[in-house]
Order: sequence, then structure tokens, then C-alpha cells
Amino acid sequence: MIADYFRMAIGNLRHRRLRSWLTMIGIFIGITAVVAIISLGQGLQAAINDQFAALGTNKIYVTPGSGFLSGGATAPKLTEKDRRTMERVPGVKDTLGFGYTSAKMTYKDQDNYALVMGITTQDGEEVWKDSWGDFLAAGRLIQKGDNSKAYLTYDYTLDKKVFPHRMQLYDNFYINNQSFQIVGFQKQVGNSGDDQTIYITADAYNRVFGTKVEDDYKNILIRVQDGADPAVVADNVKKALRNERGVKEGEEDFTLQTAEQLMESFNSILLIVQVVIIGIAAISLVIGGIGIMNTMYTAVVERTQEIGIMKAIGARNGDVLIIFLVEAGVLGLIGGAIGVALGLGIAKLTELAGALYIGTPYLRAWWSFGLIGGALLFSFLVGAVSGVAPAWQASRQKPVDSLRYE
Amino acid sequence: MLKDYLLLAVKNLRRRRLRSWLTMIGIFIGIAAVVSLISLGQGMQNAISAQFSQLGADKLTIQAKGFSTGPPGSNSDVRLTTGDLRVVQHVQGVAVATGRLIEPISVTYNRKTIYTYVASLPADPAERALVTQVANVDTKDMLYGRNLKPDDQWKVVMSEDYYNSPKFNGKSLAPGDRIGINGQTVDVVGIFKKTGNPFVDMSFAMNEQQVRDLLDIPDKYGLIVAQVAKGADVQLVADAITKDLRKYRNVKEGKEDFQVQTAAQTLDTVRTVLSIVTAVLVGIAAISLLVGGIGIMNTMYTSVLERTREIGIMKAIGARNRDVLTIFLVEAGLLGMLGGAIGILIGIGFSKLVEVAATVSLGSSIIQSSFPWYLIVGSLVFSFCVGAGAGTFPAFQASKLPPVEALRQ
Repeated sequence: MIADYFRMAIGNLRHRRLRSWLTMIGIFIGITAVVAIISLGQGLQAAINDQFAALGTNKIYVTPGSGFLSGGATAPKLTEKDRRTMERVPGVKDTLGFGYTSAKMTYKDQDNYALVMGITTQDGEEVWKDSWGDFLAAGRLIQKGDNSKAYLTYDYTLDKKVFPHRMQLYDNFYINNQSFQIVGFQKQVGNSGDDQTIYITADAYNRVFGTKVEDDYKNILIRVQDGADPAVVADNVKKALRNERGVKEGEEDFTLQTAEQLMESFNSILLIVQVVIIGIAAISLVIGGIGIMNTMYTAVVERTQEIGIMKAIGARNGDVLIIFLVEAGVLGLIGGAIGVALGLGIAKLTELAGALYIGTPYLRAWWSFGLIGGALLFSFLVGAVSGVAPAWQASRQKPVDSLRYE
Repeated sequence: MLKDYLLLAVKNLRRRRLRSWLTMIGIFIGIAAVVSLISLGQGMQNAISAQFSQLGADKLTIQAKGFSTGPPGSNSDVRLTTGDLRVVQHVQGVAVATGRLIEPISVTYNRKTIYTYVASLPADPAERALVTQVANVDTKDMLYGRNLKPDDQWKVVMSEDYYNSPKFNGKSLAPGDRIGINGQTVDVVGIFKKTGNPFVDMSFAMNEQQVRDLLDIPDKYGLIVAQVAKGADVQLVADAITKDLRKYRNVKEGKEDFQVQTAAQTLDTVRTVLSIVTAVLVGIAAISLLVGGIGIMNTMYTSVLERTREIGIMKAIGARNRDVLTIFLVEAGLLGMLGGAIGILIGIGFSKLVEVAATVSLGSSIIQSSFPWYLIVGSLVFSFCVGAGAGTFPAFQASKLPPVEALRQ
């Protein structure tokens, strides 16, 4: 029965081949755009989430400052005393403190300005290895006692990126005119901030810049004990820090974020951007739907006599309605199928082009049965909904008038 | 002649009223989206340009090179000093130059501490005037109290943001209040009008010497601002400053550890980013115009089919192929242009709505709509072209119909 309706719909559509094609093009362009954008957006999200997972979901990030605008620069400092307080909180395994500054580096008589991070390898070495170990590309990480060794990142391994020539393992370079040896390189992370950072130990950092990282941590990374809930531990750390620093609840001059919270805030920003872009792309689907409506109205007018005959030989209003609805839905469905295939193809091409020309790992084509099934169902619905008014009109025609129509 | 074509087209469109409307809706939704996106993008550019022109085309900023996550110069090992400022002041073509310190502080009042920035005011009157001009602070017409004098000790002024909203345990600030800045007692002497720049409006302004004493910063500057003398070429002066600073800081050409930027350069960067974002969004919205165009093509093919006999008659009484072609082309173009006209109206209305909504909810005039004549005329011409372009094939098909065959239908 249902198969009959579909067979009839396809027969009628083939009858008006050119018009059916043009109508379907209207739908598939829109579906192509939406599918390609969703695929790339989800791929980007997956890529970012993978990175968070590599850093470890058992981490809590502490920064000075109370919120976004204060950005760490305005707030009272996080010090060694704060770090000790954190380490005493139950559920905290260990912590790693950072200092960073922008500084001059020199390689083969070429100068450049880079972000230099000083990390506390004294107690934090395990946290450091745990978080950064997965990103090691060559050599080794810096470790306790590395006073003039540095761990460099991806962009330094490229020609003509930071320096005219790529840097090699065990090369020497200068930070603020003090000599350092490269002991390892990090894999590509995908943004110029992370891919151009230089890591040295806190001891080396203090020597080069004449500061004390321990008096002004820009960031403290907490590793949570196995089995402990990061969110609960974060709350306890917050309480302990409040007590130690003498601030009231709700007036914290520091910010705690678990890896999961960071991931969530990233995802929600990404979601907003995706919704806006998909919304704009979906405008073309509305127009495609109107195209289907137009085609179906035309079909109803053209087939007035046919409708009359159908009714004369016993078709009920409901039958005529379904015939036209299915026809409109099939228009949408076929358009949608072509659109899904094209959209995934474009996303895959973008991924290849991105890998080839920009070298970014963030452009990834993602797909799932949900995406394909959802897009097909949606395009069928767009078609069927656009067909409602014309099909209604067709089903309401009086058989006698219809037969008389020329 | 042209008028006849138009009249004929209008009549034909009215004959198939529903179909014409549906086809036009396809175009006008697309045009409305494109027009409102361009209008908002353009408006945002204008608003930003206006903000920059306050800073003025005759101003230069000098900053240390490197990354920065806070205010200028706060997170860099490379720094500018009072010595650099003296060098800049002596460059030919520099009218006034001043150094600025924008540093993080804590402010305590009514047992509540907040974290914000302090901005320094230089002692020299000409330099002071330059700072107020760049920050766009109305010092002549203070809202309450008085402006800071160069010989004031431990006094501050701030924007009306602090007067209007109770940021300190339910209390706001007014002239006469005593507050603590990093533990030092300081008197509020004046409130200036809101500038609209969030960073200026959240900062406390204090005399430079006291900022240095308070934060123990002997000679650093976060950035240096220079005003170029009347008639001097900004780019040449920028080059001269670069050259002299290079010599003073003892760095080689191409290895400068500082950056001299003209206002025009900064503006260009912002504009480029904004243009790219607008272009991407308009590009995606333009997909819908393509779909609308295909709708027109479809409608025109259908009407060629329906009017086969009519075309045959026209040809039988002497219409040439070209006449038939023109009739159908004008009809398709008109469909596009009418759709475009409605779309422009809706687009203008929509972006006005966004502007009003944004102004009310954000309290800032950064989102503006702008409708230059070329946007409107361009959209009309474009939608006509979309229509006519989509109508080309059907019209061509119609014009090629052999009259005898057409009549026999």
C-alpha cells in the first residue's frame, strides 16, 4: 500500500523530469550546506575534546583573578603558600605551578619574541609528565635539575615559520642572552599560542628573568587522586583557599575550573557559533521548501482532470491527499539524499585541503548515522510540510468540476 | 517599447498570482538575509572606525613586542622605559609624546575589595591633554567633583560607572569618599562621564608619580603615545621613531623589540577581520539566493510550457524570436527585482530591530545598522540579474519554439 503510493509518486515525478530536478536542486543545496557545516563543526569539537582528554580529565586549573575580564593580570597573586594549601586538600594528588612571560629568544643570530613558561619540576614533575607526555614528538620533556635545557614546540620544527631554518634536537639557542639546549619537541597542537611556547624549569626561569615564579603563579594545575570526583575536590580546594586567603564565598579572587568545565565552556561557545551559521544556511532550506510548494501547486492545477477521474472511480479525499503529500515528501527526500552525500563529500574535501595546505588538525569531517538519518528525515518533512497546502487543495476538488476542467 | 514589455510581464505575473508570489518569496527571504547581514557588518565597521577616529589619525602608539594577556606591557619581559619616551619626544615631527602605565590594582571600600586597573596621568599639561584626548575623557565637564590636578597627592577620579552602580557592598563611590588602593588610602575627587570604552570606564586615574610610588615601578611604561605635528607625515614620523629607538635600545634593523603602530594600521587590522567574518556569513546566506534563482527558473520553464500555444500565436502574427526572448527575460527579471525590493525592506526592518535590541540589552552602540545607497541599488540590480539569469534558459527555449508546432499543441 505504502509502496504503491511511493511508486506512483516517483512515476509522476519522472513524468515532469526537468521541473522535479530543479525543485530537488533547491532542497539539496540547502541540505548540502547544513550537513557540511554540522560535519565540520562536530569534527572541530571532537578535535578539541580529544586534546582535553589527552591533558587528562582529572585536572583542575586554578588562575588568579575572579573572572573573564580580570584575566589574571589584575588579581592578587597566587603564591607558593596557596599551592601548599592546595596540596593538603584531601583528594588532591599533586600540583604544578606555572609562570610565563613574553621574552626575546635568539637562534643563529635571529631574534624572535616568544612566550616562555617556567614550570615547577620540584614537586610537579609527575603532573607535568602526565599532562604533556602524550604530546611528546621527539627527545624528552624537561625534568628536575634541567637548568639550561628547554622543551620546544611544533612551530620551531618547521622551516620559515619562526626562524628561517628549523631547529634541531640538542641545538643551542638563547633566552634573554642565556644559553639553552633543546631536549625535546612537542607535537602539533594546532594554535600558534601552544605551538610557539617554550618550556623551561622554574629554576631556569627565575635565573633568566630575575623573578620568583613561586611568588606569582599565573596558573596552577591540580591532579586529582584516582577515584576522586574532580568537581568535589575543586569545591574543597576552593573552600581551603578561601580560608587561607581570608575571602568570603562569592568574592573569590581566584578561579577554579575542572577540565570538564573548561571543555563545557568551549563546547557551548562552539555550539552558539554553529547554531548561528546553520541558522543562516537553513534559510535556503526554507526557500527550497517554498519551491516544492510551488511545484506541487502547479502539479495540482495540471492534474485537475486526473484528480477528477481518480475520484470518479472511487478515490476518497484522503487518498488524493496522501498521493500528493507523498509526492512532495519524495521530492524532499531525494533532494536530501543527494544533499547528504554532497555535504559529507565537501566536508571530507575541506578536511583534506586543510591538512594539505594549512596543516591544521582542527578541520575534520565527522559523520554519524544520526546525522544522515536526521538530515534525510528532515528533508522528507520539509517536502511533506510544503506539500500540505497544495495536497489539501487537490483533495478538496469536486469530481464533477475537475472532470469538466480543461 | 520597454514599457510595453514591462506591462506585459506584470500582467502575466498577475495571471498566475499564487505561483508568482511563492517564487518571489524565495528571492526576498534571501535578499532580506543578505541585506541585513551586510547592513549590520557595515554598521559595525562604521562604529569601530568612529571610535578610532577619536584616537585620531595623527597618533602613534609604541609598545614592547611580545604576547600580552593583560593591558599593554603588563606581561612582557621586554619593556619600554622613561628613557625611550625622551627619545620619542626628541624625534623631528613629534608634537607631544607621553608614556602610560596601566596596571592591575585592588580597590577596597566599605569592607569590599574589587580588582581593576589604574591608569597614570602625566604631570606635563600638554602630555596630560594628549592622554585625556586619547582616552576620550571629558575633563572640562566633570559629572561630579573636579578633575585631577597635576599637584594632587593620592587623589583619584573614575567614570560614572562607579557612581551609578553600587559595586562596594551596596555602596557606590562619590567625591569625598576615602578608598584603599593596594592598601594606600586615596581620596575620590571627581567622577567623569562614561566614555563607552569599557577599559577606560573601569580604570581609576591617578597621577603618574603616585602610581610609580604605589606599585614600585621606577621607570617602566606600558605604552608610549605620540601625537604627530601638524602637516607632518605620520608614516615618516613612525619610521623616524623606529630608527631612533633602534639606536637607543641598541637593536639591529629587523630585530626591533618594540612596535610602532599608526592608528590607520590598527584600524586596518580590525577592519580586515570584520570583513572576513561578514563575507563568510553573507556567502552562506547567498546560498539561499541561488536556491531562489532556481525557483525562478522552474517557474519560468513551467510558464513556457503552459504558454506554448500563446507563443505560437505571437509568432504567427509576426513576433520575432528576439521579441519572445525579451518578453520572458523581462518577466523573470521582474520576478527577481520585485522579490528583491520586498527583501530590502524586510532586511532594513530586521537590522533596525537588531540595532534597537542590541542597544537596549548591551547598553552599547557598537551594533549599528547602515544602509548606504549602493547597498540598496546593488541589491536591486543583483536580484534583477538573478531573476533574468535564471530566466535565460527558459526564455531561450520559448524563443526557439517553431510556430507551427506550438500552435498545434
